[in-house]
Amino acid sequence: MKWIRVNMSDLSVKVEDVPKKYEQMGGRWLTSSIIADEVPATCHPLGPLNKVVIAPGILSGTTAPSSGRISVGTKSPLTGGIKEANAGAKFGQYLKRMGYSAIIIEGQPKNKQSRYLLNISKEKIELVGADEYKFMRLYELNEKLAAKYGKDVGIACVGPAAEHLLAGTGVAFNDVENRPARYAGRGGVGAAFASKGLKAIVVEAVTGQAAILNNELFEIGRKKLLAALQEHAVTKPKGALNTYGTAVLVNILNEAGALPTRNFSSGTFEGAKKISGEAMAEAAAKNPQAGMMGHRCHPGCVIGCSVVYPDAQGKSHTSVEYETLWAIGANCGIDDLDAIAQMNTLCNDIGLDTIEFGDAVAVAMEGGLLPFGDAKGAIALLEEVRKGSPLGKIIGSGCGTVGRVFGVRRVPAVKNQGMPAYEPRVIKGIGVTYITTPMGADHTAGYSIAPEILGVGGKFDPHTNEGKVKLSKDFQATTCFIDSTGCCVFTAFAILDIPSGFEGMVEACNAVTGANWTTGDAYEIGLNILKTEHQFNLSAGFTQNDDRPPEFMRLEPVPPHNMIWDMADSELDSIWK
Amino acid sequence: MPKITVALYAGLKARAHAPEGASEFDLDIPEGSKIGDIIKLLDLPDDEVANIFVDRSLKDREYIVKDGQRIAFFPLIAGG
Ligand code: SF4
Repeated sequence: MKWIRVNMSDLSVKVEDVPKKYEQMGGRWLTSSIIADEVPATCHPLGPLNKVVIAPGILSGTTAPSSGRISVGTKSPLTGGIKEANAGAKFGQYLKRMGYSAIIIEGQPKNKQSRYLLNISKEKIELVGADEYKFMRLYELNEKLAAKYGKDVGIACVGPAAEHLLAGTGVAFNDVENRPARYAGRGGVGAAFASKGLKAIVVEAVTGQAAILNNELFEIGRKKLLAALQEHAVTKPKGALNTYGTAVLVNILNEAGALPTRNFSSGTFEGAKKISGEAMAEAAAKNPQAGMMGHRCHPGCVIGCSVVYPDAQGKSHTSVEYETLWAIGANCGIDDLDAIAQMNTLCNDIGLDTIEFGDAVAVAMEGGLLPFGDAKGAIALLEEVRKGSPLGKIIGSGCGTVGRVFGVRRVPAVKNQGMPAYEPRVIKGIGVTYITTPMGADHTAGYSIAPEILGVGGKFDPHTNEGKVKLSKDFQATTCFIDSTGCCVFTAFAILDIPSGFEGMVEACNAVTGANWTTGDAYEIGLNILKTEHQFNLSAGFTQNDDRPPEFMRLEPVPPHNMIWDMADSELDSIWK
Repeated sequence: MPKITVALYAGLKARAHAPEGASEFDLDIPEGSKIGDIIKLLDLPDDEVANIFVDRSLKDREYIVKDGQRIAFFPLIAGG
C-alpha cells in the first residue's frame, strides 16, 4: 500500500510506501494515528503545523456491503482536539482501488489568496491552480469538475463557508449523481481543509476491487455480513432505514420526550410529525420524479438510508437526514419541511455542517437575534455565512461562539461542539458519549440510543445512570473499529443483534490486511484508537473538566420528564480507568 | 370506559384496525386493559410491534393502560 503526501508549503506531491506500523490500518484508525504521530497537539488548527488526513476504510473499494466510508481526520478548529468525521462516497472506493490508503495534506501556501486542486489519476498526481473556483458554491463546482474531469470522478471539496475558515464547516464528497451532499460534517474539518489552500480533490473513477490477500476468506466474511444486513428488520431491503430514512427517528424521539426542542428547552415538539420520515416518504411517493426514498450514498451500500425529498415546487433536496431535520427543525422551532429541506441544500451548497448550523441558529434565537420558528430569518442567515459578513462568521463558527457573542447561557455543547438530536438529560447513555468522546458532542461516536430507545442490541432504561458508562465505552470502542473498516456505522444495528455479521466484518478485514483478528481483538483495537485520541486531547491541554456537560443541564429540568443531568463527575471520569 | 389516545408510526397505521387513514386517534378501551390487549383490539401485527411508549416512557405489553393516557406504537426502527 502507498499513501499520498501533499505539502502545500512547497506544493510538492509524494507517493510513499505506507510504513509497516500503519499497514493494517484504515479509516479512523489511520487518520487518528497519523494525526497523533505527526501533528503537534498544541498547534493552531488553522496553521501550517496541522494536517488533514483523508483515509478510506480497510474494506473500502471491495465488494463488502456498505463499506464505502471515507474518514477525514485533523486537529479540530471547533474543539481544539482530535477529530475524525466520515462520509459515504465513491471517492474513497476509487482511492483504495488505486492502491492508496490515505492522502496526507500538510503545510500551507504562502499566498493565502491562492486556491489549488489536487488531481489524482492512475497516470499522475498533480496540484493545479484553482483560483477560478475560489468561493464557488459546491453544486456549481461539482458540475464544473464533473464536466472537466469526467462524470464518474470522485470529488472532495469545501464551500465558501469553509474558505472563510469557519469552525462549523465540513468536507463535501460527491454522491453518485455528483451532488455535493455527502458530508464529513463535524468539527470544522472543512475549515482545516480550506486552510491548506485546497478547494477540491478529484479522483479518477476506478472499477474493480481493491487488493485482497485472501479471496476465499473475504467471500466468507462478506457473505456473513451481507446476510446479517439483509436479515435485520432495520437494515434489510424495504426495512425501516430503506423505507423511511434516518428521519424515522423524529417521531420516536418525540414520543420518548427526548427530541431537543427550541434550543434544548423541551423534549417534545408539537410539529414533529410534519418533519418526520413518514412525512418525507409520503411526499416522495406523491412525486417519484423528484423524490426518492432508499437512496445510496455510495455504490455498494445494501441498506440505502438516504432520502431525496421533493418540495412543493417539485425541487429535489438530497440527503435530508434525521439530524438535519431535528437541528434546523425542532431545535429551531421550525416545522416547515420545505424550508428545512431548502436550508439542508443551502448548507451543502456553502459547506456548512447542518448540526452545528442548527445549534448555532437555535442559540441565536434564544439570544433574541430572531424568533424561534423564523424559517425565513434562518435562511437569510445562511446567505450571511456564504458572504462571510461579521454576523455570518459568528453563525458559521458554531453554537459556542454564538452563545458567547449573544450572552446565552444555554449552549448545548461539549468541547465546544454542538449536541446532536438526543436529549442527554433523558437518555443518559448518549449523554456519557457526548461528554466523554474525544470528538466533542457526537452521537455517532457511541450510539447507545440503539439499546436505550430502539430496542436494538439489547435493552437499557434510558432514564437511569446505572451501567451507562460501560455501555457508552463499549459502543465507543466498537464504533472506533467500525469507523476504521469503512463500513457504515448503521451496519451496527444488524451486527449488534446478529453476531455472525460482526464476525463476517472482522473476517473480511483479515482477508484484506492479512491479520488474524477475532471480534474480541476488534474491540481492543477500537479501545486503543479511543485511547490514542484521548491522549492527543490531553496533550493539547484538555483535562477531565472538558469531559463535563454544559452547566444548564445540571440545573434546568427538561420537560416533559423534568429530568436533569445527575451523573457524578467521578463516574464520568471512570471511563478512562 | 377509559379513553386513551393511540398513535401509530412507521407503517403500523396501514396494518391496524384503525379509523381510516388516521395515525392518531382516541379509543375507548375496557377497564384494566393491558398494552397486549390493545394490540389485539387494534389487530396490530404482534410480532412487528417493537417499542411502545405510554406518556413518553417505554412500557411492555403487561402494562395496564389508564384513562387519558397516550400510547404510541413503533415497529423496529433505527437511524442516526
Ligand atoms: S446506510 Fe445510509 S449512510 Fe450508511 S452507507 Fe448506506 S446510504 Fe450511506
